[in-house]
Amino acid sequence: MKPVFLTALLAAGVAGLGTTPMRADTPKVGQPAPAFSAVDDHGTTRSLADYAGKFVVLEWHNQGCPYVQKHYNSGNMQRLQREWTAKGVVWLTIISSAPGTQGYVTPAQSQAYTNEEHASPTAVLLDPSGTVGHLYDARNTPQMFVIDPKGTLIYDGAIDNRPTPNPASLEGATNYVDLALGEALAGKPVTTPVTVPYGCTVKYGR
Amino acid sequence: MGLLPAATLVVLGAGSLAVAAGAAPTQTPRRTHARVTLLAEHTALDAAGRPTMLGLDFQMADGWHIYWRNPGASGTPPTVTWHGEGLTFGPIEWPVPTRIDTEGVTSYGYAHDVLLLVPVHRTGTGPAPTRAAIAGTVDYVTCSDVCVKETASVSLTQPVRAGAAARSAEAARFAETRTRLPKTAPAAWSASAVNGDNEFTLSVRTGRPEQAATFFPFQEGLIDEAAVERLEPQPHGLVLHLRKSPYFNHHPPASLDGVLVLADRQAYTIAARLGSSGPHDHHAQGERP
Repeated sequence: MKPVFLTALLAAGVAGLGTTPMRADTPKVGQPAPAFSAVDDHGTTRSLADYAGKFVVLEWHNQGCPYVQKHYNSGNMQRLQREWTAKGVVWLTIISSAPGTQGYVTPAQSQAYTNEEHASPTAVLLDPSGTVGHLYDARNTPQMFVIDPKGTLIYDGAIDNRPTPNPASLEGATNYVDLALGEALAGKPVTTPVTVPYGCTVKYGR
Repeated sequence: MGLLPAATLVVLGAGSLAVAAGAAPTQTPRRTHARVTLLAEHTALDAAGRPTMLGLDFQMADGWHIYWRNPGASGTPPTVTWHGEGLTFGPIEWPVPTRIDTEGVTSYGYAHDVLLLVPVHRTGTGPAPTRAAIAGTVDYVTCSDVCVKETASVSLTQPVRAGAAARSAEAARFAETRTRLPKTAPAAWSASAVNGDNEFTLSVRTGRPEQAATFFPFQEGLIDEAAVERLEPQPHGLVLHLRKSPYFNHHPPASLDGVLVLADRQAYTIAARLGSSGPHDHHAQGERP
């Protein structure tokens, strides 16, 4: 499909500006979430399939990104992790920074950060190759995904409706993860299943 | 390399009776990646309230950029909180941005330098003061391969006088920047857009064949910024195919609003009424005499 499209573009003599990266098809809300396996910062391999029957949150993370820092320095992300994992939700923090880029951490550095920040995800997955990030077309940190117990993607987008690193913006913000999980756990459809993620780019490396 | 100490953040508009405010001498010096200066186009404010223009002059370190009003796929546009007794500040007037591509993600912004224009006028009642102090707190995100959140305090003091004031030493910067502001589209133009399955089809009738075009939407989450825009020149305008954003939420706006840049960097603000696909025939519209 895509190669044909590109060929047609070239044949048409396109006034192209910038580059057109070859992207994997974006995971679509309402469809099965892409299956993946990744090793966490304790060396345990975690697969999405391990969590069949549970709600799963994916949080794209980069500790050096000011937009991520807004949610960690304020305790907002830790609150989400604490509240939702207490209700049986699986929370996977995923770090797709390539070695040598901002946010890349060794397993030991990842564990230390989790302790310092009093974070309580179910696991922190290290994805330095960017494989899981590309599979989900994760664009920003933070970017949030929610998967339901049947493995269907039910949310993809921003953590809230305030696309700024300013901590004052947290007051009165609508948290889309709270919204989606609150509705889904109550058996209701998610009213805001897709939003525009904001933040830093994911540091996949060149 | 190219880093600027924060102590240089407060720079005064030449041509004004300038008094530094907000330069906290006790502040620990830190490195910043952009220097922000407040400039004024004229040497005085009009006591009767005729507007004049201020400018936030951003000078970025090599490799760093800031963001347009719609930042695209990452980042946040700068915001400013103004303080000035009896003064009213207008919204930022944004020059046409450039596309900034990083690892397959495209943002809209400015590298090197940019002057963001802000109109100001006196609305205070009662006798005009002889001088007006203007201060602003500028919050912005600047990125290279990493992003940094920075805050700059800018200020200047201007005399308040009756009548038109002389141009300041920086007036040429303002004039040059105005050439990069989008113009209002001529009344004779018409623009419409079709909300298709995978793309928006933007049709603009300008009265002449257009051989180059790029579109910067005001709203985030409508188009895939990284995608190639496919241009079909028309005898009397253009058709531009814009791939939809993967985050398009199926609640389309009433119109596709943004800046259309044509050949020779001529830029126009357009509002293209958005219809669903079906009866619209953009080819027919483009050919209409």
